[in-house]
Amino acid sequence: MEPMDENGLRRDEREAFDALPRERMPSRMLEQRTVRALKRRGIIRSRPVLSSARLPWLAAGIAAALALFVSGLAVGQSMGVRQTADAFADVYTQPTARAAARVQSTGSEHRAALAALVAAAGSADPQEVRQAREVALAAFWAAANEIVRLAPDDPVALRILQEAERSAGTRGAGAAQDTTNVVWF
Amino acid sequence: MGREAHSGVPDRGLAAALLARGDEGAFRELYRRHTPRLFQFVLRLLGGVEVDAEDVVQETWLRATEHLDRFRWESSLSTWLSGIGLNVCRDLWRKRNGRDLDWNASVEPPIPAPRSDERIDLERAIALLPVGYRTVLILHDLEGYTHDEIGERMGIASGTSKSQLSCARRAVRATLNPESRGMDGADG
Repeated sequence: MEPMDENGLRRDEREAFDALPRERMPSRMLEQRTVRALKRRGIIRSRPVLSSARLPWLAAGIAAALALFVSGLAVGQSMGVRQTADAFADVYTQPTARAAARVQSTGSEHRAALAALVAAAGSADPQEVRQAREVALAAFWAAANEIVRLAPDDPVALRILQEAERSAGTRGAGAAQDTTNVVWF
Repeated sequence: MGREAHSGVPDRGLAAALLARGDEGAFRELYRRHTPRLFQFVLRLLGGVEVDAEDVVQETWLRATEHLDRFRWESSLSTWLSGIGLNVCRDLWRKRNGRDLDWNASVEPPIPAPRSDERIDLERAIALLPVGYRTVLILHDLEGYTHDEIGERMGIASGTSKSQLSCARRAVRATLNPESRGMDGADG
């Protein structure tokens, strides 16, 4: 029989008992739970929200955050304004550009049509040539009229209109009647 | 104060800070110093049921901090906490069974036998003991209490503590080595 210690345990039994762990950490949640329970009972008092030692740091932090916010706001607004201006410019400039391009292309067509009329004038019916010339003049006059509406002080357009009116006055009511028969498409 | 500020402070200083200011950091330091030992102690008493052990640890700290101003520091805080933890365990057993432990039962309570293929270590063998046996065995053989101290703590005679310990050891030996059933060593 193996010898026993003063408490009646064999050596291997004593060693086995001594080898058992004496400490074990419970879950982290238990600490939080216990602290909350102690706060509810007023044994632990909540930490002060602000200590005098931390006040300057907090103020500096708030100031830095505010400065960051304001600068961010300014940059954002600047980018927003620029984008808005660009958008408006797109809205207003795109139709103008399209209209200018159309004036240019139809003007070229108008000039090409007149050139074709000139080429055909030698062999054509004089009556038809006269009518074609009246249509061309009417178009010329109407174009000058639109230019004056676009730029009332434009001297070239004004002179064209004045000459056209004076010419129409000297040619009499018949010619004027022919001009008004022109239908614009 | 952060945790570093409390780390070198003796238990008594931390307790004073908790009592005077309700210092959370002081409590957390006390908790982290003493809870691992307290938790292992009550976990073993409760047969390894962690949920119960956590509840007991929390209740132990609640009771301890409520009565901290009456603690006279004649023993270590750890020992005092263990005593409170033991009382909380007893309250739990009483609540579950509707009565206190029957220390004088003449019939040995049955001890669940391990499966034939189950290798039982000492920890498991202790956990399988009936509550009374287990409590005395833990207090005497692991925590170093004398039979008089156990008797005083548990409200029983020291002779009862001795007989409980004897039965507990016999049961543990039988569980660890089934072939030795019926072979008794000399118990203290």
